Amino acid sequence: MKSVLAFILPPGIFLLLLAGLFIAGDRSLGEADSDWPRISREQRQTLDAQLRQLFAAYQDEAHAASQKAAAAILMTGRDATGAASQGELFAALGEGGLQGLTLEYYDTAGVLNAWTGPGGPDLAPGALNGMHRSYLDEGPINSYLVIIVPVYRNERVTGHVVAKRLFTVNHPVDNRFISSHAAATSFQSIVGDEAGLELQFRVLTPRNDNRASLTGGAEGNTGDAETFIVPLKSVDGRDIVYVLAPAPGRGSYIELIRGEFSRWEGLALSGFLISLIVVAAWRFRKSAGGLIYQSVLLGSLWVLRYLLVALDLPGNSEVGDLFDPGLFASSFGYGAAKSAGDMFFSGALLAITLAVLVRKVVAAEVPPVVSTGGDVRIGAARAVAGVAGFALLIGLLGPLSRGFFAVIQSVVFDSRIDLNDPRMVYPGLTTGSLLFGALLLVFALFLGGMLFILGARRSLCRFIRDGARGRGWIAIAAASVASSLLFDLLHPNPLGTPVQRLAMLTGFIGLSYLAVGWSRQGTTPGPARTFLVVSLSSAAVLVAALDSKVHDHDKVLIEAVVRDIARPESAWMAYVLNESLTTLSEGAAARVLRAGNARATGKLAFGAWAGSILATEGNTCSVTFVDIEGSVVSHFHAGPAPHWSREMPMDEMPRSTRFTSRESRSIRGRTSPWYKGYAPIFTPDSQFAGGVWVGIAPNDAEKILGQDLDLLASPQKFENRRPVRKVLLAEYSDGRLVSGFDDDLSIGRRLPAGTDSGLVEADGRWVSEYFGGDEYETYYLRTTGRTVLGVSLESLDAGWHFYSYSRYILFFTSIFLLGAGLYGLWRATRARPSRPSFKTTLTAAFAVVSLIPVILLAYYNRVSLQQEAERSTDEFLKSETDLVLNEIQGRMGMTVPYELAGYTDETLEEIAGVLNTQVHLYNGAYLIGSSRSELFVAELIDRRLPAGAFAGVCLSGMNFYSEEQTVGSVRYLVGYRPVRAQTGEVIGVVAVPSLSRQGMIETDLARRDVILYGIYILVLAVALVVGTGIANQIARPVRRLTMAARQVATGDLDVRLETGRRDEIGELETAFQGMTSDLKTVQERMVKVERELAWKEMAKQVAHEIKNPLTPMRLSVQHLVSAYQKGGAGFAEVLKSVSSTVLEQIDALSRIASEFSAFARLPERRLDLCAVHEVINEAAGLYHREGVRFATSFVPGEPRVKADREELRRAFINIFRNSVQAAQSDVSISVSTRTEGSILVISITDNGPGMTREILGRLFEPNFSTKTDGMGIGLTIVRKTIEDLNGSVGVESTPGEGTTVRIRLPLADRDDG
Amino acid sequence: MQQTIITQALLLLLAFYPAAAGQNHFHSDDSTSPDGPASIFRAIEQGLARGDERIFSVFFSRTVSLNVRGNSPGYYSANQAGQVLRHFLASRKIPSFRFTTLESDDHPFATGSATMTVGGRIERFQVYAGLTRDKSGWVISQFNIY
Repeated sequence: MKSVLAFILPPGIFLLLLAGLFIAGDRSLGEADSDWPRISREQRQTLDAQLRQLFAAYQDEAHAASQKAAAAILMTGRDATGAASQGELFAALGEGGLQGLTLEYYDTAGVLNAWTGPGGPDLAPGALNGMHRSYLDEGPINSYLVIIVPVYRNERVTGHVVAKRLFTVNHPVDNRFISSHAAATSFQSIVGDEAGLELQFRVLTPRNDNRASLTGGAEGNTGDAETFIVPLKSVDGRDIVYVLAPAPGRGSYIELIRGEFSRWEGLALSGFLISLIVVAAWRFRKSAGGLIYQSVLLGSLWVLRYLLVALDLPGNSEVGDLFDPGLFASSFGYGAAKSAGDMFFSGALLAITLAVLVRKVVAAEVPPVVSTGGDVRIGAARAVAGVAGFALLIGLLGPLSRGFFAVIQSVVFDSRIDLNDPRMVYPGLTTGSLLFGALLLVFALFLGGMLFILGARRSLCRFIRDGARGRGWIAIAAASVASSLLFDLLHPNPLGTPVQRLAMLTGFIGLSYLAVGWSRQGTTPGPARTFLVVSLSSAAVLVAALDSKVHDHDKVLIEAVVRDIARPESAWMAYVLNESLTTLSEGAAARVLRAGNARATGKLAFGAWAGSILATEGNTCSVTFVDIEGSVVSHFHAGPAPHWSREMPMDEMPRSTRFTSRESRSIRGRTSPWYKGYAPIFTPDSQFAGGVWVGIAPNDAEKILGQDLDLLASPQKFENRRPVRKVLLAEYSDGRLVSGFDDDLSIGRRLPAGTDSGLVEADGRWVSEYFGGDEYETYYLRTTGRTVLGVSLESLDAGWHFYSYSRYILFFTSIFLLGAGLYGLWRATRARPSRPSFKTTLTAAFAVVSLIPVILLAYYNRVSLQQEAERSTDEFLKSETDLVLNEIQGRMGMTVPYELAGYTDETLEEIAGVLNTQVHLYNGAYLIGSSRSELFVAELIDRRLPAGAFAGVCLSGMNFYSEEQTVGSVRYLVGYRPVRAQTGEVIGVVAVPSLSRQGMIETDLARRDVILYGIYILVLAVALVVGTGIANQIARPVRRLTMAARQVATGDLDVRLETGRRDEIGELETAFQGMTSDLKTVQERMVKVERELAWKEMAKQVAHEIKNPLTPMRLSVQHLVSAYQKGGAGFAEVLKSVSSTVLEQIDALSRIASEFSAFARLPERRLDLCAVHEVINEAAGLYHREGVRFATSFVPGEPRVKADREELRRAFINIFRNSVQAAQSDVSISVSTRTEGSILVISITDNGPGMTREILGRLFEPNFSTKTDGMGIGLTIVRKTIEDLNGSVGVESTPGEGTTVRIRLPLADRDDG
Repeated sequence: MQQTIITQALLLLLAFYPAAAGQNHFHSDDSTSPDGPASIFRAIEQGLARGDERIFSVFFSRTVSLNVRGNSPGYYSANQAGQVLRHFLASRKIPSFRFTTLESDDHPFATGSATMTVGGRIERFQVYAGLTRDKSGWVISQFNIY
C-alpha cells in the first residue's frame, strides 16, 4: 500500500493541481464574466491600499531624514544671533544623508545656505512659509517629491530643511547614464507589473484637481480599459498626486486571466508529466531494469523538453536576461537553445543522457575478440565487420562533429554577450549559464564520441564472435551512414576542417580506451577518473575554442561596422531625419509652444529628442525648437553638434515650409557629413506655432571607436559588444591616408603594398601591420572608386590569451568545486559520507594554506590597484584643471568676477575642443556653462556645485579638490579648482570630469585585475601541484603500510617493507616487518598441524567409509565359501545373492570415491545465461523414470541466471536425490519459481518425513549425513554452488510434514552476455 | 544486446541531429533571393502580416543591424535576429502591412508603417529594412521596427 502510494502520490498531486487550476481558471473566468463589478471593486481596493502604503513608506523615509537633518542643525554651535557657520550647516545636512536624497537648508530669508545630494528642482514660490508640508514638483524631465520641514528655535522659525527625492522620470531614455531609480518605476514593478497595469502618475494642479479631467471624462469605463484613480497624500494630509491605473476591462481581464492560468497550467502539466515519467520509469525498472528503463526515462525527458519548448516555458519575458533571446539565441536544437537558460537545460539533459549511456557501455563486460582458429567464415566475417564498423564510425561521427563545431560557433556568434569583456572578471548568471551550458554540451559531445567508439568496438567483437546475431547492427550502421550522407547532402557542413575532425576522432579513441582501461582496473575509480578526464578535456577544448572564436567574432563585428560606415548613408540618414522631424513636429510641441510655460518650453527639446528615433539611434545630433518669431526657445544636442538655428536665421528661411539638406561640417577638427532639416509646427487648428530644427551626423565611426561614451542614446547600440581592444579608423584616398582617428596614423601614410589594387568593392581584406610599434589587424574596404576605409583592431598578445584563459579556468574551476561540494553533501545525506584519504586531506590542507595568503594578496593588490588608479586619475585631473584654468585666465587677462559670466556653453566647448577635455564652469555655487551642457539639460548633473566641492574649494580654500560622482550607474571622478580674483578671492570653480576617461580606466583596471587573477590562479595551481607532490611523499609510506596490512589480512605474509628509512616511519616499518615474520612462523606451524590433523581425519573418514561396504562384502564372501564347502543345490542361489551384495558394495565404494573426488575438485566454471526452468526440468527428468511425481509452478517467461549450466543442474539433482532418499516411496516433489525484483526464488518441497531442528542446523556441514550410505557432502556442494553465484540457499522443515529447500538467485540483466 | 544498440543509436541520433541542424545558419549562401530586393521586401510584408518571421529571416545576412522596439539595438547574428523577431511577433498582432517607400538602387531599402495590437492596446509602428549585396545575392543587413 505504501509503495503504491509512493508511485501515485507525485503525479497525483500535480494532476490535482492541474485539475484545481482548470477549475479555478474556469471559475475565475466565469466570475469575471458574471461578477465583474465586484472584481473591479476589489482590484481598486487592493491597488489603492498597496499604492498608499508604498508612497507612505517612500515619503516617510525622506521625511525622517529631513527631520534628522533639522535636529542636527539645531545642535550646531551658534553665535549670538543663533546662526551656525556654513561649514557646520553642510556637516549637519550630511547627517540626514540618504542615497539619492537631496537635502537643503534655507535661512529665514529663503537663501540657500547648505545642500547635499544629487540636486532637484527650484522651490515653488512661497514654499517656505513656516509650514510643515510636502508636494510633488512635476518637471518636464523629472518629477520630485519635495518635503519642507521648518526649523524651530525658541518657538520661532529660523530656517527650513527641504528634502527632494526623485519620483518619476518623464521620458523613455534608459541607459547606464540614465538608469532610473525613480520611485514610480519601483511602484510600477511592485504593483503595476504584478497586476498587469500600466500606472500613470499625475500631479494635483488647479487644472486637474477635478478627477474627471484626469480621465478625460467620467472616472470608470473608458472603452475596454477602466481607469482607477488613487490619490496619494502629503505629510500634511493633502492629496498631492493621483495615480491613474488603466486596468483592463472585462474582455482584457478575461484574456489576462486566461493567459495567466494557461501559464500555470502549462507548468503543472509539465510537473505532472515529469513526475509521471519518473515514477513510471522507476516502476518499470522493477520489472525491466537496466538500460531500457533509463532509455525510456531519458527519452521521455527529451520529449518533455521539446514539449516545454513548444509551450515556450519557462518563457523569456518573466525571468529577465536568462531567457532573453536578445542576448543569446541559437537555432540548433530546434528551439531548445534559444536563450542562455535554455542552453543550460539542454546541455544538462544531453550530458546526462550521454553519461548514462557511456556508463552502461563502459561498465558492461567488454567481450573479447575470440578466434576459433582455422574457420574461414570468421576471416570473411572479420573483414565485413571491419568495413561495417568503420562505416558506423564515419556515419555517426558526421552529425557528432557537426554538432560539436556548431556548439562552439554558436556560443560566440549567436550571442551579444562579450565573453571576453575584461570588465567582467567573473561571469554573471546569464553569461555563466551560457558558458556552463556550452561546457555541458561539449562534455556530452565528448561522451557521444566515446560512445560511438565503444559501441562500434563492442559491436565488432560481438559480430566476430557470433556473426549470425550481429546482422542488426550492420543495418543500423548502413542506416546511420545513409542518413548522415543525406544530411550532409541537404546541409553541407561549413564548419570544422578535416584536420580538426581527425584530431577529434583521435581524442575520442584515446578517451574511450582510457575509460575502458580504468573500468577494468576496478569499478570504483573508473567512472570518477573518466568523468574527470572528460570534463578536463571538454573544458580545455572549449576554453581554447572560445578564446579563438571570440576574436573571430570581434573581426566579424568590425567588418559589419565598417560596411555600415562605408555604406552611402543618404538613405538611412534621410529616413532618420524625416522620421524625427515628423515625430518632433507632431508631438506635444505645439501645445507646449502655445502655452508659453518657460520651464516646460526650456526642456522641450530634450523631451522631444528622448521620445524620438534620434535617442534610439544614438547619433550625434541637435534639436532646436523656435517660436513663431524664429527665436530659440529650447535647444538640446547629443555630442558635439552645431546650433543650426543660430547659423540660419529664420528670416532667411520660409518659416512654414519643411525642408532637409546635407552638408559637410568640421567639428573638433574632423570633417563629417551632416543632415539637417526643419519642420514647422502647427496647432490642431492649423495655427502656426513655431518650428523644429534637427541636425544629425552618421557617426558610426565614433561608435566603433568607443567615443559614444557620452552619448545619451537609449540604449546604446554597442553597449554589449564594443571591442575593448584599441581600434583605429583611417580613411585613404588614392592610396594615401587622408584622415585618421589616432596620433599613430600619420596623414599621407601609404596603404600596405598590394592592398589598393587588390581590393574589390564590397569585398574587404584583413592585413597585419604595425602602428606606433604595436601590432594591429586591419580590415580594408573600398568604399568608392578611390576611397578605402581601414579599421585596425589591436592584435591579441599573450596577455589577452592569458586573460581569457584565466577567466574561463576560474569559472570552470569554481563550478567544478561547487559540483564536488554538492556531491559531498549528497553523499552525506545518503549516510554514506565520503571519507577523504590521508593524501586528499593533506592536499586540501596545502591548498587551504596556500589559498589564504593568495586571497589576502589579491585583496591587497585590488585595493592598491584602485588607489593607484584613483591617484593616477587624480593627477590627470589636477593637470587638466590646471590647463583649463590657465586657458580661462589667459583669455580673461584680468580675472574679475563679472567676466566669468561671459563664458557660455559655446566658449567652453571651444576650450574643451582645444584641450581635448571636458569642462564645467561655476560662478560661486552655480553653473555658468559647460562643454557638455546636454548632461545638465537632461538633469543628469545638478547645476549646483556639489556640496563637497563647495565646502572644500569655496569654504575651506583648497586649491584642488576631487570627489567621486555618479551619473546613472556610471561612477567617475571630478576635479575642481578655484578661479581666484587677483585679491585671492574665489570667484568661480573649474570642474573637469573624468567621464571620457572612465571607459579606459575601467578597461585598464580590469586588464590588470585579470592579469593578477591569472597569476593567482597560476600560483594556486603550482601550490596544488607541489602540495599534491609533498602530500604524496608523506602519504606514500602510510599507504604502503596500509596496503601491506591489507595483504597480511588476506593471508599474504611475504610482505617486504624495507625502505631503509631511519625515521619513525622506518621504525614502524621494521616493527611491522618483524610482526609479519613472526606471524609467518606461527602460521607455518599451525598449517603443518592442521594439515596433519586433516589427513588424520580424512584417513579416519576414508577408512570408516571403506570399512562399511567391506564388512558386508566380507560376510557375503564368507557365506559364499561356506555354501561352496557345504555344496548342494542352493549354491547357485547363494552365489547370485552374494554377487549382488558384493556388486552393490562395490558400487557404494565407487560412489564414495566419486563424492570425495567431486568434493576435492574445483572444475573450471563456464558462466553463461541459463534458462532456470529448463535446467530444473532436465534434472527432474532423471527422476521421472524412477516414478517420482513432479509438480511445477513456474513464473511466466523464462527467467535466466548467469551460471555454469552443468553445475546448476548437479545442484538440483543433489536436492532431488535427497528428497527421493528421504521419502523412500511414493515420492512427490513440487517445484515453484517466482521473482522478487531482480531475484529469482526457487522453492523445492518434498513429501518426506521432514527433519528436526538439530538436523536442520547441521544440514550443510560437510560429512554430516542422516543416511547410512551418504558422505554428507551433497548439500555442502549445493550451498557452495549457489553462493558462488551470489545466491543463497535455505531449508525449512517440520518433522512429519516434509521439507522445503528455497534457493534465491540473482536474475541476469538483459544486456548481460 | 541488439536492443541496446538500437536504443543507443536512436538516442544518439535524437541528441546530435538537433545540434547539427543549426549549422545551416552559419553561412548565408543559400539565404539570398534570386528575384532581387522586391521579393525580399514582399517577404517582409508577408512575414509581418502573418506574424511569421521565418518567411523573411532566411534572407538575413550573417550579421544584421537590428533595432526592434523593446530590445537592445545592435548587431545580431541571423539566428538571434530571427529569435528576437519571433518573440516580438508572438505577442503582437499585425492585421496588415505594406511598405510605402521602396528604393531599389544600389542600396535598396524600404519603409512603411502600420498598426499592431499589443495586449489590447493599438500601437503604431514604423519599419525600415535595408539590403546589401552579398557574394551571391541580396540580403537583409538592417532591420528596424520602431
